[in-house]
Amino acid sequence: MAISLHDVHKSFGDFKAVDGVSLEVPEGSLTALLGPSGSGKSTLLRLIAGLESPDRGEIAIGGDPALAIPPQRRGIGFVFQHYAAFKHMTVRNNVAFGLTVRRRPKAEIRERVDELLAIVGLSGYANRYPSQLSGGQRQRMALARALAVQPRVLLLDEPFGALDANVRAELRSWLRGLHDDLGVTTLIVTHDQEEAMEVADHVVILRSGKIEQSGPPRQVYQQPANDWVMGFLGPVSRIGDTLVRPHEVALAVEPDGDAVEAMVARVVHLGSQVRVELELAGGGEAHAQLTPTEADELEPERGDIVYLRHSRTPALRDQARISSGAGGA
Amino acid sequence: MTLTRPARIGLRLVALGYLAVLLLLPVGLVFEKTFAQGLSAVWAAITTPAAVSAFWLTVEIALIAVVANTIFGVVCALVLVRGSGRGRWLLDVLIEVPFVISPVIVGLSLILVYGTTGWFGKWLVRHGITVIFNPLGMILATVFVSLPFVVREVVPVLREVGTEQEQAAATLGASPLQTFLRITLPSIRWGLAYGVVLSTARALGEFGAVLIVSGNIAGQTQTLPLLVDTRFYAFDNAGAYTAGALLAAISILVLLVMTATAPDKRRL
Repeated sequence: MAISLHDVHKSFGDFKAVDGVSLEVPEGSLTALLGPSGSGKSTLLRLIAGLESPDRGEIAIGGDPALAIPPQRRGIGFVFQHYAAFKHMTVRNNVAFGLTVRRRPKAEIRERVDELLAIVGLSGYANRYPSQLSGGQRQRMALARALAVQPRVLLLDEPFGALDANVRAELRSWLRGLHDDLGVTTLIVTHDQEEAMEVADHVVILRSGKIEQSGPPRQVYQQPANDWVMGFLGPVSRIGDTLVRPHEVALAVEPDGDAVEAMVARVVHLGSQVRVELELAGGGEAHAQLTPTEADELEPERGDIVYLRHSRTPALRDQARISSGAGGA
Repeated sequence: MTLTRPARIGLRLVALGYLAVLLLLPVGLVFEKTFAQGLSAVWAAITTPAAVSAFWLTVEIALIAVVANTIFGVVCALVLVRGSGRGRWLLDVLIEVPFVISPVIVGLSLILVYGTTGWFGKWLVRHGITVIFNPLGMILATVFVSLPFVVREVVPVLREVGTEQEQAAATLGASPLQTFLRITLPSIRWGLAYGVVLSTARALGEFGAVLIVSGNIAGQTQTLPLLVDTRFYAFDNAGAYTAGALLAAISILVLLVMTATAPDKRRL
């Protein structure tokens, strides 16, 4: 089901956690709420779930106003960062919980739980307790538990935030596949831009309780609405008046038109890429990311004077700015 | 901290010696004195009408007080940990009052409130309710002195458990009552069980407050601790030891049942 928010506000004391957010989450999409800590992304998710009430504004799920409905009957599935596993219950009873409290027939519950455990790859773990599972397994159990009640929307609050990097990467692509199979409208909160880019088909970038920009991952990355968004989505260097991505910095040994002079401070070989750290002639620092081939041609060394410029044409960049400005945040 | 082997053994000896001298020895001696009289004498001493009455009255009062304090204790812990009211600190302080006030003062204050000349005295007399020198007063006194245990044991557990599991239950469709019964209560069960054991032990053994409000009437308002006292001052040492041993046995039994049913959780 689609989720729609209109001018939603929520404060905790003097702190404005969510400050006038309007948002449409299309049915069947996987949307990421992306922002630094304190940006209001988790609060927004909890407002949609009904775990918090907004100070004002409207929230609708599937076209129906949701605010008067308690979390129990909103038709949502919620997955918490720290799993919120029911520690005193087996995996089977955890997953069955939503069906048990709805007093469904035992046989139906058993069948449904088996099916879900197979989906999340925990078939052999039904009689274990959460303490006997790894973090990744616990989170998959929590996801099965949320899916058991056939939610209209799935809300994931930093679901992989407490996991190791490799488990996180594995679960990300697994989640994407699961979403493609099930098609449940899903909102995922994350502070990790890479995670948002990889998993979501729509990214909403939040800062201080407000939406800075929203759009498909490729669009927000290539056409950031402002410098803050650009800096938040990845490493940037400032050359003159513009922000540049390290892989868009072109280096040359000879001065060339408006190229900026810099001194090589350090060269780091990272295998598939070479990072060149630079001290700009006018003050400030930048870094360039080169391919090994480019680095071999240039052979930058500490103390060398180089000239840098943006590898994309200025005209292209201006266009990008105009289109993202017109598109609105 | 790592200790050398002699240091470890030394510390162990100190701890065990301390427990032996102050705890095991005196309690053990009570049992020794009791059974030195022979089993028939023990049986005779605990089957006198006064002893039987004291036993049942003790059990009855402890049961009511513990049930009341368990319910109150859980509600109170929920208010303290989950509540958002500004007056919670006051509740927190009030709950400690039974710990810091001498039970004798508790007894006296109950007489001031519920005695025939007390605040509610006239009203109670008019409605035919007798509190003081009656089991009702003894129950009130026992509730008072054993009140903090459940709250004090449950609060930290509740705090540690957090609210995420409860929120998860709500999003899965559980009503507040279902959430409480299926999630909250099982999560705090060990803390609750320990609080109940401590409350029970305190309720069974309460002497000072109960002595003052009961009037210590044999066969009517005499609990086991009061019976021990009465027999002791009547130079019936054997009878006092027997009643004492019975009382200690009940308390130890409660503790054993608790330890047996809560296996892994309290292992060091």
